[in-house]
Amino acid sequence: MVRLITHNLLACHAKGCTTNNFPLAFRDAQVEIQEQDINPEFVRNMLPRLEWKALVDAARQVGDESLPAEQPEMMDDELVQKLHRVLMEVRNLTLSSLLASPNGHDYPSTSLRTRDTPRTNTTSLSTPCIHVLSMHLSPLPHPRTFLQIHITEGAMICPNCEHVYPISNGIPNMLLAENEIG
Amino acid sequence: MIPTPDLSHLTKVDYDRVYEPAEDTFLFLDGLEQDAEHIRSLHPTVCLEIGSGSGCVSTFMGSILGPTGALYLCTDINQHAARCTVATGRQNKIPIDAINCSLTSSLLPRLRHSIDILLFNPPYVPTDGEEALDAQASGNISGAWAGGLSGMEITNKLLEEVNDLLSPKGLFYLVALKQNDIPAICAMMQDAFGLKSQTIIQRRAGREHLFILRFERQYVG
Repeated sequence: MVRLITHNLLACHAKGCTTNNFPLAFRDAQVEIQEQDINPEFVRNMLPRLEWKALVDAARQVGDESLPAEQPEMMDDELVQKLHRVLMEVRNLTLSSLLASPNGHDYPSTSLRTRDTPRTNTTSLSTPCIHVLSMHLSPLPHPRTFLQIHITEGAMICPNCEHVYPISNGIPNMLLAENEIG
Repeated sequence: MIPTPDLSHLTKVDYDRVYEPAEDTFLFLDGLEQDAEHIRSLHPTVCLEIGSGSGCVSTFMGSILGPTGALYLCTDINQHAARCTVATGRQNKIPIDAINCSLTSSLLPRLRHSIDILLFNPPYVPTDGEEALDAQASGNISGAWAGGLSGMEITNKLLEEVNDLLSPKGLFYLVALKQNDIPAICAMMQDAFGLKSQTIIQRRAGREHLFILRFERQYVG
């Protein structure tokens, strides 16, 4: 499961790559949504360990625009909800706009939707191609049950050395070859 | 009593490639269960297990703290193990984030002094030194047990990072064998990093005399 919370904790560790090695950029990310209960206390405790800008950028790469660019000083309930969505779940603007369901309760019964964003250059790091391949949506979200963003396939690219870390079956492969280990 | 995680989804094919929970694993669970109240009282946010294998131990930690109680991160150099870890979490309704990597290499820069619970059941069986490193490089099941000289080659690498990883209230749990020279491990952690240690449980299992050690920061006053 490469959730955005995990993505926010991974840095490139290739030999000699010690600056500008975070955050890794998503490439060809396939996104799956799974249910997740909210725990506001966990979200509040986790926030100090996260990089806000990296989180906002990663969320935007997978289509979520709900977080403000600057980290708010006050951690109110609304912000906790938004963070939970981005970190753990996905009942957000992306899905709403994708599924034309602004209130998030009127999901179509289809279990497969695809969205291709325009891609001019397959190696460009600034225009990642996002496919929303499969969504397992309950018809009406259960109270306190939310949805999760998981990056299931694709890759993460170091912004500095451009090392490619593949994601397969939801598991990031952060292994390095012997000659790449610092 | 906290139940042992359901592992019925794992098959012989999985256990050909991933270490099957055995006496050491179950002693680890018993030790964590014994410490459960202490662990809960710290309100941990981030748990990290190194070399999670089947995922049994982190799943058990998820039962202690609850599915949404903390972030359960796991690393394993064996990609099959990383998959089994996620599957075991899912089977027991504990969300686990597994990463295929060696020890903590991709996480250390971002998780410095952020780990509240650090868990490691290392490859502790004494072998010759080459064997341990080759086993790690192969990323297969031998990496789960081949520990090199004194069974400490891989453990020693992690011990160097523990102080950087642990949060101020963090706890580090380590499985060790008597032949690993436990007094020497504890003395090194105390002298080099000021981390105090305690044996929380021990058991003889066949030829192995197994210990679960707990390390934490020492506060004066």
